Amino acid sequence: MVSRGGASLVEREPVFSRDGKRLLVCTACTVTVFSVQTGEVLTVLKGHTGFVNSVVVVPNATICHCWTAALDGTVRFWDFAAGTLLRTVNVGHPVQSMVIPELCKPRDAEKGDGKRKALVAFLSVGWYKGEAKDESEEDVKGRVICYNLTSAKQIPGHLAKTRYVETLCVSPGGGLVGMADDHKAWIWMVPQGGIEKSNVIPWTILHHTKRILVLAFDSSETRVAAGDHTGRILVWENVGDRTFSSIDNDGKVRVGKFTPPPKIVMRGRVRGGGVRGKDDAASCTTYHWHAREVKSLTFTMDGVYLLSGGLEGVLVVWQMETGKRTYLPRLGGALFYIAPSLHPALFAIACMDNSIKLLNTGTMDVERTIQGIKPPFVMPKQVSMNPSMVSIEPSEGKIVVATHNLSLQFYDPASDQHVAELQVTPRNYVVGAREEEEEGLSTCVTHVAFSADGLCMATVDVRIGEQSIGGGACLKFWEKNLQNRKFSINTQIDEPHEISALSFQSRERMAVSCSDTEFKIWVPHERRASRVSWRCRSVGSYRQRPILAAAFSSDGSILAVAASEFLTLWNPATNSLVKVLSNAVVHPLQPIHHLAFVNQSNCLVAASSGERPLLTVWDVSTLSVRWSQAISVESLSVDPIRANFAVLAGVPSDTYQEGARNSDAVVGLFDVDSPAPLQYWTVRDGFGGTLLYTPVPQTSAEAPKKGDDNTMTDLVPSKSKLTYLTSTREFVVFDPYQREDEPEQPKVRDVSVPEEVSSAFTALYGKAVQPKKSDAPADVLSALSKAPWGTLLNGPSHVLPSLSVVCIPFMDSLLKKRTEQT
Amino acid sequence: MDAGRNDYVPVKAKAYPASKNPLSADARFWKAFKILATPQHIGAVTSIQFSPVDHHDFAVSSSTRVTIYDGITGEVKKTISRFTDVAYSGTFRSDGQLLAAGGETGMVQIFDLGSRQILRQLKGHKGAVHWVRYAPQDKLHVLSAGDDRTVRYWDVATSEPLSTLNGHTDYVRCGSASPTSNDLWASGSYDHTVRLWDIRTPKCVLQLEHEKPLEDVLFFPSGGLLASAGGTDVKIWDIVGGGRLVQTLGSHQKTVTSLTMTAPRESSSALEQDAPRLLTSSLDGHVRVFDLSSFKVTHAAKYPHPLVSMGLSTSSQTLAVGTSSGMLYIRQRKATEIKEDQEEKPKSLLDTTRSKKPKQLRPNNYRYFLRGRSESAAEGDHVLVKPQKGKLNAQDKFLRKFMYREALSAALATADPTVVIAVMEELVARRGLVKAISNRDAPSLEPLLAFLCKYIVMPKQTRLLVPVAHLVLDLYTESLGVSPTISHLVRVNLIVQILMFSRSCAGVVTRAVLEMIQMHLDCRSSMFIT
Repeated sequence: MVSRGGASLVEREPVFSRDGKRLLVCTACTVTVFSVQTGEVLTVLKGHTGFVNSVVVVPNATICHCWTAALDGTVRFWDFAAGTLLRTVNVGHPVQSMVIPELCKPRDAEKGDGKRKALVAFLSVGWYKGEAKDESEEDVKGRVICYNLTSAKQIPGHLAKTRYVETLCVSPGGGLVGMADDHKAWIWMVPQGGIEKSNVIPWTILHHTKRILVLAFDSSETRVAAGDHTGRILVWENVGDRTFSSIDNDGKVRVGKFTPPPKIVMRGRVRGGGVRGKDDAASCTTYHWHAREVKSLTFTMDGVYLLSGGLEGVLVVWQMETGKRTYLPRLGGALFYIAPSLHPALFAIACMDNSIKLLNTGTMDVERTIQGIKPPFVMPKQVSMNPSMVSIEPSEGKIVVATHNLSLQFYDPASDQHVAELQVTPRNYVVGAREEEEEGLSTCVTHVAFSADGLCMATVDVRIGEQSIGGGACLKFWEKNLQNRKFSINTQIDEPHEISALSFQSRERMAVSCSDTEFKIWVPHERRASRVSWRCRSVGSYRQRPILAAAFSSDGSILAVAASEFLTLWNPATNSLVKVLSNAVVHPLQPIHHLAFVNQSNCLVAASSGERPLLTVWDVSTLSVRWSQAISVESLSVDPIRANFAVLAGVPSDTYQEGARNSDAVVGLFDVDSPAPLQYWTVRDGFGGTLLYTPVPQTSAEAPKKGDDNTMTDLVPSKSKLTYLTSTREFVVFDPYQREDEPEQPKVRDVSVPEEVSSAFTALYGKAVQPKKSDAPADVLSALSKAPWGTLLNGPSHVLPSLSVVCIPFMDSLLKKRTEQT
Repeated sequence: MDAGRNDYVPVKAKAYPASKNPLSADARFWKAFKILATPQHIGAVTSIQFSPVDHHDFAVSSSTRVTIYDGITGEVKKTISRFTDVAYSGTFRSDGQLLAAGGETGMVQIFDLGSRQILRQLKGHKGAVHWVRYAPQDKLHVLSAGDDRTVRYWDVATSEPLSTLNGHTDYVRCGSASPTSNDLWASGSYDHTVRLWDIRTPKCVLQLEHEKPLEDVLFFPSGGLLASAGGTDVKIWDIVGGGRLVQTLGSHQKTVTSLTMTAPRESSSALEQDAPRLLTSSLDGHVRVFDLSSFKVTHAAKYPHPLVSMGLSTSSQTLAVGTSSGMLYIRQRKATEIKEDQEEKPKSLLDTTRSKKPKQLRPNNYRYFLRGRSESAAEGDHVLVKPQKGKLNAQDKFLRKFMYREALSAALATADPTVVIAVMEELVARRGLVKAISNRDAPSLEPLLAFLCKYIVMPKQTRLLVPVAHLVLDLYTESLGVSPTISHLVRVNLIVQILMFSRSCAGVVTRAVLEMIQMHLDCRSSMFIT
């Protein structure tokens, strides 16, 4: 069975379902439905073949339907409670963004018409070059069109042409549709009677001197906020007063004809001295706090507050009247999207660290985090050694990746879930520092390695000096606490040496770290009674050659160290050089980057990359080459059970170019006996990928089989899977020995909490009413929060829902039936 | 997880492993001497003599007066100022009742310490008398050494010289009485010799060639060995073995001016070894402690002025060091054992009877309305806990607001090197160290320079601080003349430290650092060292 995961949750805006219990998140070609209460995955909507860009939920609390638009040129209609596809509409153009103003309006308004109106969506689509009518439109790639989803027909013509395909946004009431396009913002008014009938869409343009990145409308649909790339937020009041109120005059534009934006007509006197570019707005106010780009903007439901987030990772709540700010700092990464929910205080924030945080603006608390696998970071340029920032925890099969802020994330590939996070050095991560984009992070974890039993971990974190002041590295050894299964630091070694590789011995507690010219063997050392710490036992080097890889044999008796192109075998017990191996077939030799002993055999695999790559399998018992092959190896992993190993072979280096960076690569499964691969798979994004063998926890049914071979210890599982992790940290887990893929079972979980088991008593009489204690103040407090309206009326008055929202659930809660059964 | 994400993580100072060889017993013993008082005298403090009876009192000779200090409180007890010229070598009689002092006039005067009256004036020396001692065993005789190249033995009662010891060919400036024999005396002279005298015969018994002008001579408690200080060396002689040179202790940079020996203690818990310690003070401002069993330096202390005299009480509780600038440092070791005894004093029965019964508060008292405020919650009470905000240090407050320069200044104000280093490393990680160091004015630059001067040679900090020092020098070369303190700090301390560092650690530090220092010195030596 193949399982995939690791998709980014924060590429597109998350959307709350109408009942506020589910959160729909675009995850590459799928839409994942999360439960707001638990943060679990409920359903995955699979069907799109391109990246899903927009999700629009049908405004009905009882029906869980939604429209999705994707780059594959289709718009699909789903039941996301059941996870079934209901309808597919083929638009024919890659859809970058879709809004359906009709669906923003309250449900009641639609009921009045009796018959359903046609559902018209605004789409921002990419336009192929060939379809351009004349030469001048060649580089104009984006179009905004209207599309009738009911009849699956495009309304002829387009609303705007843009240089790039831009993202649309819609006002909460569905009256205005906006689009930020370079230095200007397009605002369209959706006609009251429906687009089909009126056939006229009035529009206006707001101008700015800087590139506008994001737009937001307030609920009254007169105010437009725009964030630009310098960190300013512009708020226009009474947008479109002139244009939209006098539709019959100059502002009228017929759908179906693109007209270039008209020159600004000075009509009468210029109103509002502060209006930027003399646009159709009463006034324009600038708010400035963000130092970097404003990435996301949202008005609260009542329009009193404006939420903005930028690269700094600080959520700013602006009080529009006074300009007063409240901050929520240290959210862990740039804030890409702030999605409002029906509850006025609840917002979903999409963060750069691939997490969606559910924020309560009443308490300014992050209530829940939906965490995906964390994204890779820009390595500092100064780190020249080959880092191994991805590892696998052998005991539990968790992927361990190094992330921002000197952290390690433990991620479960089987369930595609975040498990834990461990900060190697506690410090505050300064999000969005300007230098970070140019020079990479100033601190990062470069190596992580585990002992075979998973009880010991070693990490290396480096700090890059500022103008070569204060740089340094730190090697840390961690011990796993068996009770709470967490790692705690055991030894910290400052400035060990410039570590290029790190490896543990499988039998004993022993680790080796390699640097430019030497390798050091670290062993636990009892300093005082009951206090064991790691220390350097011995140092070795071979002709001052740079050492890039080292590996212990499975029985721990041989240490293989790759000193540049030479393979040196050492006795780790005595620290003596046993043998030097060199493959004299190819000249000149390339430095060996990857080195591993193959289990269940006496073989050693060494791989080098570069001009003349070479994959060599040595027989250690005869000290001879079994076979070798010219493969450029990106990653090498050894099967923990069989005498096999898998390599990720990249593009041959002579054809290596910048353009071929993320081209196809091959995962090959090899046997030590033959250079022909047992099996191979082609994968994408080969550059920077990692292959890892994951032990599968043993089931009880397989346990008796293992009894006959005594060589294995109990810890070694009898099955293993191969995990391939790309440089963008998407991964696929598969069984390399299984040919046919089993059909995947779509899993659907219900949002509701599992109900209590009904007893015979409740079946007969319904639930007994528990007498409430009212003496202790604690009970009063808990009773308040347990009351049906308790959660509704929780929080400050400005974040309370509007009366119309609260009324029906409040009445429902009061009129709740005593039993469901009778 | 989320709650922790929103909290600011304060900068934590790095914890270093405990030193493998913690402070030796000697170092702990001598570091326990804390400064009690630092009185300033008018002239150089030429002599400090402790009273043999009253264990803490000591006489300090400086300028035209001899001051008696109480070594317990560090206060002046008495001042004898009846000298017409500079007084030298104020010394107690063996019972502590009388005080003898020499002087520039060549007269040795005997004072009564109670009334401060001049009891006797011993006239005979034709030059200044720099050294006077009472005979340790009897109360009647005084030995004095003068610049007239003679040593005279006086009978105090009659004010007559019993014998005049001739032989020295230059000023006689120091001497010592043998602790074992009444008749054996040693004197040291600027003629590079130590002479041993048997006062029964006016002839020199033994002559030791020190080869440097003698500044101080001291018998060992056993009486068989003699230490002599002259030039930068201290030499240990075996007298019983006919004046054999046992050892030369040469660890001072400048002339050794004074020798003191710890008294053999009865139950010394701090100093386990029985061997006495020899304390030497020198014009280079150092006091060094030698273990006399191994002749090794076990402790050293640095003073900011050239040292000319030193005294240690017989109980090793009080140490007084006199400098050429007239500053006197009185250091005292806390007697911890005494305090512990006092604490164990049982409470008297009277205390328990005095316990008052709680007063009934009435509404006419203001406290009546405040009652119960500090009451602790009873069983079953519902406790609402206000979340406590962790208190942040000044440097963390500034770091949180990205005020890097102020954060570094706040860290420097703590005077804790681990905190400063932690803040510096945090600033490096935030790429803000250069910003934090640059654009400082004189008052904010001084602490940084002082810190660099002090800690640049510490091996733990060198790796970070040497480049920082270079950066500071690069940034502030132009504005050196702004403040005299900064000029001094940069010119003298930093350069000297870097020089000394490069010299002393030549074999240890990496070549790169050395090259940097060398380069730096090459380009800067012309600028600073004038």
